Amino acid sequence: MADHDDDVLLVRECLRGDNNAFCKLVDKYKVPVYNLAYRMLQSEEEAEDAFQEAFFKAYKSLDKYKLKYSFFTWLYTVTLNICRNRLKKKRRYFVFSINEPLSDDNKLTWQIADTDMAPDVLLERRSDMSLINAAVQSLPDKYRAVIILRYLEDMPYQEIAEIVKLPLGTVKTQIHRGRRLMREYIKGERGGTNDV
Amino acid sequence: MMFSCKEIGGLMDDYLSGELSPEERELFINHISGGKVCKRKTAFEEAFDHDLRSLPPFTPDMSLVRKVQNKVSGYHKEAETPVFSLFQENQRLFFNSGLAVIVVLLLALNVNFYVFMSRNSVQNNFAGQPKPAGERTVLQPVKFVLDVPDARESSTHSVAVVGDFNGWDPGKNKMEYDKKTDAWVLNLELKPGIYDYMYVINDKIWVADPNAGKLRDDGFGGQNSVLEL
Repeated sequence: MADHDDDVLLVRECLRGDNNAFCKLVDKYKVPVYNLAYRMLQSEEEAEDAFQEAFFKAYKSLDKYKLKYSFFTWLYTVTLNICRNRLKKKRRYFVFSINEPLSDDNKLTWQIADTDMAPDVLLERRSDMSLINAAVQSLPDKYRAVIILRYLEDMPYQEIAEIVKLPLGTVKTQIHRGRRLMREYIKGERGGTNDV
Repeated sequence: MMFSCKEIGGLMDDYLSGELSPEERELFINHISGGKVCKRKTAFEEAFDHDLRSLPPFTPDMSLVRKVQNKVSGYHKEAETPVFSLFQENQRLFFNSGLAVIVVLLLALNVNFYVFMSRNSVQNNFAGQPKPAGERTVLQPVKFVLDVPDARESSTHSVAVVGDFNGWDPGKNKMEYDKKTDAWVLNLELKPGIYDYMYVINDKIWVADPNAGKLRDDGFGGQNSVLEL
């Protein structure tokens, strides 16, 4: 709640003409917005464009934002809509492969929290994490969006339903199906075994 | 009561999210303790859940963040002085070629033309009938009245109008309780246009106007009242 109040304060300052207040919001939410854009669009260049577009669109339509809602939820909705529009445009020009993994030139570095692991275990864990990451990226857009919000942003079901504008039951079903698809992907990659 | 293996599969997501009731959770754990297959499946799902949540985020380059911040910071300036910015960026090109002279002359001619036209326009206005009210934005008086049982209760200590016209800020347009009509009232003057609005009771409860002629989806599962002026 304190977080929401802080955001509302910054939004009010921005609406009064203090653009630096919005810059603070950009700084605060840069990672989740970029992460969502990158995971949805699967391209660094597209993610950067969507990132800029999302914040600028949010800035210009700040007077439409209702203070009773979470700013983060609203910003996420704006970002997700931008990503969806970009994906739609993309499909007009070529067939989008849902099995296409991340490009090799991405800047992702895996950080395993437990550094006391033996090197071979650490290597295996990294491999597991890469596989799970690829499984997320392999999902169809609608499942990927809810999986990102649920597991990577740790959002409650109700908040996800507000962002994707779907009934709560549909969101739960999509998450369930998304998980199942990821499990199948991992199983396929491992040649039939399904252990994490 | 006991869960079947099929039911366990259906409850798995809720179990992992901690959304089972204490009774359901106990039954769930009892079931998986007694069967190897379900126990193994649950262990797999728990590990998968953990790994999924541990995926590191992609982070933006700081130069990208600065770019957005600079764009926002300078937004108004850019909007006000686009010609000046363009001129600064290209001034060397302009001054190093004879084209600059032509452009300056054309600009001067254009300015004179616009000054001439605008003077005529003003003169026409003065020469004709009195200046129509439409020349300035005429504010329309609007009376907001909230007359619902909830608002009359003694527990209602404040009601505010929020909408597109005040940035949805409950602190800006507080209504006053009118004993005669037993309703919350506020008079405002707004520019002609279409506005979405709502009422906020006690700074907490957001409600659409029950007497609004039109409602529309607010994009978050709720509805806004619509005011057309």
